[in-house]
Amino acid sequence: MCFENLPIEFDEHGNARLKEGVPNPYSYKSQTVEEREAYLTEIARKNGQLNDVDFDPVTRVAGALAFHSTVNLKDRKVVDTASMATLFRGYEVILRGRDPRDAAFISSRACGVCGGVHATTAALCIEMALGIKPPPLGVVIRNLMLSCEYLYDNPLHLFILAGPDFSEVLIRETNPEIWAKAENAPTKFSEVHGYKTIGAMMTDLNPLTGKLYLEALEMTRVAREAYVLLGGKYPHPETIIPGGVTTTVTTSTMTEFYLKLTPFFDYAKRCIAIWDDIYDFMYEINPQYKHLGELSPTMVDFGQWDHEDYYDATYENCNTWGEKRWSTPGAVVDGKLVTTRLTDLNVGIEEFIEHSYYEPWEDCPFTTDPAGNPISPNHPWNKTTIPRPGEQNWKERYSWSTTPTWDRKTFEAGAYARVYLSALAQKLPQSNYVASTGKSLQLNLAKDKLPETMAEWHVPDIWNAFERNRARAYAVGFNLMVTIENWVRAQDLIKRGETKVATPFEIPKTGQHIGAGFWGAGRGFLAHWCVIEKGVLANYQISTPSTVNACPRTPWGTPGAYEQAVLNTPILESNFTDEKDFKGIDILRALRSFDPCMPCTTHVMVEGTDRVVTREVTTCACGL
Amino acid sequence: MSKIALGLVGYYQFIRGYPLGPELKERLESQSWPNHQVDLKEMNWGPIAIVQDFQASTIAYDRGILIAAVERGHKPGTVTCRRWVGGKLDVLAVQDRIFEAVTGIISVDNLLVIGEHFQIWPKELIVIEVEVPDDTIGNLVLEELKVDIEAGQITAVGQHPLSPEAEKTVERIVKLSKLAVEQGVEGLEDVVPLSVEDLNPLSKVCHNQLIEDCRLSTPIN
Repeated sequence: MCFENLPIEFDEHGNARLKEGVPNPYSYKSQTVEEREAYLTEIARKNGQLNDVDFDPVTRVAGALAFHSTVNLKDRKVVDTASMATLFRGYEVILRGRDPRDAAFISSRACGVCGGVHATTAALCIEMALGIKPPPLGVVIRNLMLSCEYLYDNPLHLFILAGPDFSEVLIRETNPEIWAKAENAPTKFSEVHGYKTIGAMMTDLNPLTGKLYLEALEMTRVAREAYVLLGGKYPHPETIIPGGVTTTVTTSTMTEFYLKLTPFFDYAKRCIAIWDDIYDFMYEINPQYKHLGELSPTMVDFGQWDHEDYYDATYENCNTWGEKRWSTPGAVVDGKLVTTRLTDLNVGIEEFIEHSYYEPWEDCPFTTDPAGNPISPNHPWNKTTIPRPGEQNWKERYSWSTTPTWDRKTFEAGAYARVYLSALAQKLPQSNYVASTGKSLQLNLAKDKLPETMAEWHVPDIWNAFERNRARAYAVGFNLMVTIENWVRAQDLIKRGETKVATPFEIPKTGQHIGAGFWGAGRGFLAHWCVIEKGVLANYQISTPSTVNACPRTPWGTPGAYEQAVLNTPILESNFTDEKDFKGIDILRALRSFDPCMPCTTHVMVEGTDRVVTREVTTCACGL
Repeated sequence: MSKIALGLVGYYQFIRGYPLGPELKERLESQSWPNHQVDLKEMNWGPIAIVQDFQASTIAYDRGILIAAVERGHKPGTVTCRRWVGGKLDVLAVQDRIFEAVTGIISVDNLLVIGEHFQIWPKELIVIEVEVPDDTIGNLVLEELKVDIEAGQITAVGQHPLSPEAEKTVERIVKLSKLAVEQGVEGLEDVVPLSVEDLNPLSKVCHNQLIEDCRLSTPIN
């Protein structure tokens, strides 16, 4: 069965239970300060020349994320890392005590660009807690809105965030020998993207001036416009509610929506061709790049895009409706698919705070999930967010991010995870546009100016920074064809007169109700958990992809995904003499392959209280 | 009739308990502008979205007014009127701010720079800045919720209604906004130019711990 570390076994019906005879099933041994000290001392002993390099902040996200590396420049190795979320995201505190209907609107503010995914996840969470099943068209419209967010997010990552690291400007500066070869290196897919040489592509990746950069910005605008047709406004749509959506959809709306999508037919093909060419070239230039950001593929994703015939919002049936999603949920451990059941994913989730600025919590009200499967005292349903600001100490606490684990393992989250899992699982619903083979994901990309194309993403034999980005390029096509599938379904529903988009509901003023929203941001894994008591949110927990990827070490000393990926990264930058002109491009490429995004707004604690000030809510100027 | 974009940068519409922004918006919405077409814009999202909003707009604004909280080193609560004068923009410096912008950070400084690069700003752009408290916040009282699950009661604590200081701040911002709308920079006193050189550099929140000697240093600890 899927758990190796948690003492959980399954009966013949697939129900989970704790193994008998395990006295403290969820206990764990923490690495002591002395052990961490010894580890650091050993690093120092083995590495006579150490330089400490800060990449701060890696995405330049207003200091919300910083990454600390200890680099042995002589041996070109990274010998120690620490990833820090430097600001408190206080939504768990802000949401406590509020009306459950506020969750979608408030949690949407967790990000200035991808608020819709938080709003939807909150809606799913409340739907599960209160037993609200949206009508079919409500489910499908929600899917289409999600698609637009991804159509926005994927080009953004490929060309605005990660792309500049492969641009002429950066390549010339960090590895001029690569630029010398790129200038005349022929491309393999010029008939698709139109570029004869790798160098020409790299030039067009230049920030702010490159054609590919500017085109990506334009495509993000098109995606937003498509969203607005259905969602009214973006960012922070106000049309997503528990029970569906509040938008009115007609065939005319759908036609307009389709017209907005059409530029993506060729753009998806070009994204795939461009990044296939770039990464294949980089491997040819130096096979060592295969180790850049390398990790054994271990990732978790909840799947997205519900199938309207199956989604009923219940936890009881979540394994059925989860496996019918247009992106399959699941966990991959060391490259092997171990489960596609949402209950297994949920049961295996824990959050640890030993290296984070939080107090441990005492009250753990739940020993099982609503289906009777055991859950940990460290499960989000049991977690209470108790901030404890403090000094940064690498051996103890150094981040505002918690450490999420699944089956006691750190893991990766990302858009690529939905490609990876869907390819392995062979559980995608029947479609004319996407298919899973168990080893690959086939995408039937429709004709526009370029001919109809069958693109196929294959599970790579090594998992590294370039493969994360490459999968992201294929995610554009995956995303697009799931959109078309849902567009067809929406049209069919409208033709059949099934135009209801929301289910009314009341907030019960009594009793306890728990729910979870299992969904995905553009950057992957996203879940909300709620406990509703007497009509208000008694607890609300949010787990984001960047929390997963940027987490500090586990209590027992396992690095988080960023930390480990950078530890495995060879320093291949060539154009430097010492730490003064060392750019750290390889480390940055490794980090950016995860699409780091840590804003989730920047809240600041009020000293001595559990209150927060919303700093970026600048006009409020709270506290004046 | 002048066309004016009046933007509240970072305004939160839904958070109960943070009264200053919503209060400010309500008061601005209640103003009548007989001589001008004023679009009151919520700008609580990334600058690229705002750029694209301006680009998609069919309105050519004569004047822009942004209201935002900033950290410029003044006494908390200080309200300053600035006239945006732009400045020379290095491509990579703009890209650094775009890195932030597209990952969700909401920042008036980033907005100014990115808007300047994409040439969205009207000929006249006024920024009404409010100085926010220090990061440490101290014992400042702010609106938050006190929840009594057992009693089923939620009560707002802190500033409600606005504290006298916040009331003064809101009044001053509204007054300056009206002047800015009606008369533009000509109607404002003590307008200070704001250029790219005056903006806060992108924050550095983490520090090198060791580099005492470039050849030999100690590991992070």
